[in-house]
Amino acid sequence: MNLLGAVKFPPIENVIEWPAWLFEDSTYFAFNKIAFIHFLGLVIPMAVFLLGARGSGLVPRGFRTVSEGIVTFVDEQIAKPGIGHGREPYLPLLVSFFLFIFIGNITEVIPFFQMPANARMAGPLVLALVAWGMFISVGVRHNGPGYFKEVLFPPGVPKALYLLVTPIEFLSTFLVRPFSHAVRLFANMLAGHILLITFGVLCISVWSASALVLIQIGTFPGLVAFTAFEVGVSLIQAFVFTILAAVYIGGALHPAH
Amino acid sequence: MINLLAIVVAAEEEAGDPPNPVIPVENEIVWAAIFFFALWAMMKFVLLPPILRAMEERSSTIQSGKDAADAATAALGSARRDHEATLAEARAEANAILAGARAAADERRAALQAEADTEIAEMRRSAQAEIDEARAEALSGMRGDVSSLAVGAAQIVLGRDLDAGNQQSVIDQALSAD
Repeated sequence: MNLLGAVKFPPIENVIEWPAWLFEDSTYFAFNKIAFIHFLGLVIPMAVFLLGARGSGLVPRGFRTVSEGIVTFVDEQIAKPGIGHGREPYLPLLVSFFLFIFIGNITEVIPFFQMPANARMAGPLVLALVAWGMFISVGVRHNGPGYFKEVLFPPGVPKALYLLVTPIEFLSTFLVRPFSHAVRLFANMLAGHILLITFGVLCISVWSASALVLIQIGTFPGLVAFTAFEVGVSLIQAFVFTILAAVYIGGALHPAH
Repeated sequence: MINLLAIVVAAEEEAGDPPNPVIPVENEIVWAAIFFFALWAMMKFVLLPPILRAMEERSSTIQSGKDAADAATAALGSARRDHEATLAEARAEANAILAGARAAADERRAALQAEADTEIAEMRRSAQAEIDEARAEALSGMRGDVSSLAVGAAQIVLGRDLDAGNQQSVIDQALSAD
C-alpha cells in the first residue's frame, strides 16, 4: 500500500493566490489576507507604542515595558553592532523593520491567519528596496560621490585587480544585495510554511485513515515541534533582516571600516 | 517596475503554468509599501520620541540619583572625618584638663600635707616641751624628797646629824650619774 497515496497535498496556488477582501482582484489596491497582515504590522506596533507612551513613573510597566524592551533590544543588539556611532537617526527605521517583519512572520502560527505575509515576495522586496535606497542615500549624504569610488574601488587592492573587483562589487552591492536581502527572508518563511503544511496535511490524512492512527505518535509531535521552531524562525528572520539592513547602513556611514 | 512585474505575471498565467511564488504581486507590493512607510513615519515622528524621551529621562534621573548618592557618601566621609577630628580634639582637651586638675590636686595635697606636717611638728614640739617641763618639775621635786630621805636615812644609819647642805652636792652627783 502506498502510504503517500492517502495524503492529498493542497495545490501551490493555495499559498500564492489570495482572493481580495476589499476592492476587485487584479487591481493595485486589491486588499487580501496578506495586505491585512501587513495592516496588522502597522496597527499592532502603533497600539503598543501609543499605550506604552501613556505610562509614567520611573519604573516602566505594562505596554511601556514592552515598547522600551523592543527599542532597547533593537538599539543594543542590532543598531549598536550594525551601525555603531551615529546610529540614532536610523533607530525608527530599524524598529519598524523588526516589528513589521516579525508580525508578518508570526502570523504563520496564529490560528485564522496561519500564513506568514513574508512568505510572499512583495513584502520582503519592498523592505529590501527601502534598505537598499537608505544605505545608498546614507553613503552619498555622508561621503558624497566618493562613496561610489570607495565601494567600487576598495583601497588596498592592486590596480590590476580592479578589472575583476569593481564589476563584482557593483553587482553584489548595488544589484544583487536587495534581492538577496529579500529572498533570504521570503524563502525562509515560505519553506517554513510549506513544512508546517506538510506536517499538518500528514496529521489530518493519517488521522482520517484509522489503520494508520498510530503514526500520529510521530507526526503530531513533529507538527507541534515545527510550530515551536517556526516561532523561533519568525523572530530570527526579523532579526537577521534588520541587522543586515543595519550593517549595510553602517557600511555606508563609515565606509573606511 | 510594478508594470514590468505585472507583465511577467501575465506571461506566466498565459503560459498556463502555476503562478511563480517568487514573482511579487503588485497589490501586495502597494499595500506593503503603504503600511510600511506609514509605520516608519509614525515610528519616527509619533511613536518613538516619547519612549526615547522617557528612557532618557529615566536614565538621567538614575544618573542624578547616583551622583547625589556619591556626593552624600563623600559628605558622609567628610563629616565622619570632621567628627573624628573633633572627637580627638575634645579627647586631647579633656586629657589636658584632667592632667591640669590632677597636677593642681597633687599640689594642693602637697601643700595641705606640708601644713599638717608643720602643725603636727609644732604640736609635738609643744607637747614635748610640756613633758620636759613636767618631768623637770617632777624630777626636782623628787630630788628634794630623795635628798631628805637619803640624809634622814644616813643620819639614822650613822647615828648623828648630817649637814643637809653639805650632802646635797653628793646626792645631786649621785642622781646625775644615773
